[in-house]
Amino acid sequence: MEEITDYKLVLDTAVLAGQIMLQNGAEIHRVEDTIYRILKVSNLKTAEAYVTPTGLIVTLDDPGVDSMTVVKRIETRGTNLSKIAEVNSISRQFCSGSISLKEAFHRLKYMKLNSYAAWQKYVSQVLVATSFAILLGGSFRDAVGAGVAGICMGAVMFFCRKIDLNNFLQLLLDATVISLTAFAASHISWLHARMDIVIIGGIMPIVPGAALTTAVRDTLQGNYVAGGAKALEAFVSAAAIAAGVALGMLLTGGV
Amino acid sequence: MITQILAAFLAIFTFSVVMDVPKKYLPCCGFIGAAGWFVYLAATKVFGVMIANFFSAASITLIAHLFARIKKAPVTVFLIPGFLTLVPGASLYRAVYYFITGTRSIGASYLVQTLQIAGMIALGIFVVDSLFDIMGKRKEKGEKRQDEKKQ
Repeated sequence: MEEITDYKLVLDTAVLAGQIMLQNGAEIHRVEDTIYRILKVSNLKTAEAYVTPTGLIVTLDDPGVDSMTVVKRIETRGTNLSKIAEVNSISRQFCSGSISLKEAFHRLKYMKLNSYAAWQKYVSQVLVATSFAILLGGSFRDAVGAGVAGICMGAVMFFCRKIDLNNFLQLLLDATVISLTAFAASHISWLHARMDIVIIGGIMPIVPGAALTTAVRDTLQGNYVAGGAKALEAFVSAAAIAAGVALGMLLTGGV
Repeated sequence: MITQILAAFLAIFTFSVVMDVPKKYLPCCGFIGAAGWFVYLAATKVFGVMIANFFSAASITLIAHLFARIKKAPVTVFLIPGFLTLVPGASLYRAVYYFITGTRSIGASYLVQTLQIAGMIALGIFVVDSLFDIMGKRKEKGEKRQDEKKQ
């Protein structure tokens, strides 16, 4: 394994790894662990990481060198699990010594942006809605209705991303559109889908499952700040969806 | 029931694409979703909805941990898509529906059910996570002792 002397680059690599993981929805415990492992390769005495969902602080210190601290603010958050897996494998390879520090930094810096094209994601989203309709015990007609709801939702999402709408309003609009589509699908005589199955199938791709899971795991690992923040995120998203569904129902004059 | 389980596989497989799971793990995620839904359906008949959610969450976490160890990938990759089938979207919808139609008491009971299901899922993740945590710590301690002996 190479002797590491460029401590600044170690710190930068650790911060970059942490930043990518945090931006893509990893739980706090994992982010801290990864940063800590990368810093430990430098063999300096003090290596600390403090991570919250909105930012991270990393320190590297030793009697022999000046202490270095980096604060990084995290502004955008989403869910991209292949990036988390990729950072994980890079940090594993780096810590076991099979790739050099420079290579690790380079690979983190120039990581591939998306593993799927936008259309693949939209098609998948429609399929999620359809398969949920069947999973919940719906018939073929319900599945078609849910698929249509999924298509409409995809269009709304595309539009919302274009104008960079905030998360709450985006979910609210999505849910409203799903609710309206479900109403239409249940009143078209030849389709006659069940409204509840269509709505539930339609909202499944946007329910805050990821936030809920991460909230639980963060809280149980003792990261109450992060757990609380994630739980609030899940709650607010659920409230937005509920409000959207309600709005759609009221607009169509009830139920 | 088989159709539903196949639908669960497809649902989680496609949802994994939305969540950007690496291509090579997609079938694993689909399998977790199908297995979780199978446990849910089987347990619902015997124990009722709440306990079924617990068992299903626990088995999903268990399989996700196993896959993570076999494939050397973070648990999160399998866990986040795997849970989608359990997320209480249905009871959330029913709560809203009854609140709007004016039957508040039924709406409130569905709202409580939503929170209960979320709690049960949390408990299921917690139990299995803790088990793997304990095992991980024991392993680390063992490795440390071996290191000390070598020195």
